[in-house]
Amino acid sequence: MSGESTYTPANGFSRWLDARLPVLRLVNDSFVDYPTPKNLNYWWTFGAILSLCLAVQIVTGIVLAMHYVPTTELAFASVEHIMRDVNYGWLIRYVHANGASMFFIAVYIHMFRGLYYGSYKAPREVLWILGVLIYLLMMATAFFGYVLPWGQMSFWGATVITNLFGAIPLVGESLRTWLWGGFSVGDPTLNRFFSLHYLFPFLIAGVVILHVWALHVTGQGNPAGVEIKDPKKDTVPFTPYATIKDGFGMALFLILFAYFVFYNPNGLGEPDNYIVANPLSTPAHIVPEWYLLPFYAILRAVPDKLGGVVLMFGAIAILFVLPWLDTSKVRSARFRPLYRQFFWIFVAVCLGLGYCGGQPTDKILIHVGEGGFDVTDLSRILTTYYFLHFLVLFPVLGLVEKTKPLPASIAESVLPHGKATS
Amino acid sequence: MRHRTEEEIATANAVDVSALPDPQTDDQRVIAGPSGELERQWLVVIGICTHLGCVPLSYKGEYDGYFCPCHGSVYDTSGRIRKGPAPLNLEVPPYAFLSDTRIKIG
Repeated sequence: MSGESTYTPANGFSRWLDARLPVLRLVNDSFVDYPTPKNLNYWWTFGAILSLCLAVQIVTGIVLAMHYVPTTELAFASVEHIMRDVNYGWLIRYVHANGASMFFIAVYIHMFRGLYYGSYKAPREVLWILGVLIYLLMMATAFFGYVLPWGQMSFWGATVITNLFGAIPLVGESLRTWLWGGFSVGDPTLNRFFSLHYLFPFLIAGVVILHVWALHVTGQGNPAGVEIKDPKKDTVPFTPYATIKDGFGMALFLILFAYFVFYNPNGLGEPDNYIVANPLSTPAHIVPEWYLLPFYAILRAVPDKLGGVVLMFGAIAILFVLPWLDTSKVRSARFRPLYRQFFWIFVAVCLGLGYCGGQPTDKILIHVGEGGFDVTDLSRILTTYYFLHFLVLFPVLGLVEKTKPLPASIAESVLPHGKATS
Repeated sequence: MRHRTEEEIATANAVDVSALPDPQTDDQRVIAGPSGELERQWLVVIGICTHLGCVPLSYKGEYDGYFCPCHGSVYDTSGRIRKGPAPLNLEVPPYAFLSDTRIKIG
């Protein structure tokens, strides 16, 4: 898509097609001859891994939808029917359920890769924003999907999340009733969540196409963070180099995937979701799926209903403006000695928030006399740091940091000293 | 519905109302029975947390009233919010005593 097309139709049919619908040219220029920076490391294989995750979720999801019944009477039973009676239903459902977790593992690695190597900086702001949009759609899709089995966690997760909208001043309560299609989470809610759960993956697929389009307009970033100067020296063709590397990355990723599906299929889930939804009894320990825990911790850290909701959504919304918060001209953390340290602190803070989100709020971590330092206190400190990282560190670091010298080109960054110029 | 002990009523009345997030005396949260006296031993509240709609657990939490497992809101023996993210006291529905042994809710 960037640069001249190098496609030459090989035979009569492809010449005929190329003059009418140049789809083979598009594939060739995007995934075959596409110039790929030659210094990409394995962190760059997660784009392909994520495409695989999306495909797996859509394929397994379509089959599950053939056997699932979206009514409060039959939803739970139909999921058990899938597990017990449908041929390989257990496999399809476990792949789908664990696939969601795998999708999030991959997307978090992909996003942290972007943060470490400054992938969001000019001219890739739109590429980044589309990525954040995909992430938001993924969270919505995962939430809708989690409600469908109609277990205890499904029901109470749906109740809590939809009630978040009730915190909005003036219109909150009406909005909540509209979302529910009634006066509490019930049949209409389950039905529309099923409809939306089927729709959203295709929205994701649409935004993924825009994401890849934007990627191929600006060209891929790379670990050195310098742009391609001479495509002959700095790049290799996508096929076979990136295809093979992505394929290898996917194979490794599938080993992890298979471990969960075959050896620990419920390890990432909550046992309470195997109890049918009961609107009169909230489980004693209610937690969302692991990939939403950091945001859950932020929600609980704020002692105010609206404030908590605002900060929770703000924690994601802030990613949209990140390209303009970061003042550093240097992309890669390799050449930013200070940012590199703060990056890892930030990773630890996110993991810490995830830990807090999974613990009871009043669990005491450090005992002091009667009380002590509890999970809420830790959540508050980490939440504050999370926002400071974006609002203070990103703008300030770029101004005060003394960066290391950048390599003259991608070729120079990968070749031993003295070879690049010869 | 909760049949409260003398002690529970006493602790609910011993609270400094002005310090509460949603100030209400215990007497404002109970109604008079057929005799015209406040039926303080009967607390009637809707068991839906005013934060995000979970069902709080009875006889749990620091004040031995209600504790919401979702986000840790703590209510006292009068169903008033004491700690945590919930903004309001547990709602008291409209109800009336039809006799000493019968109650009409709604």
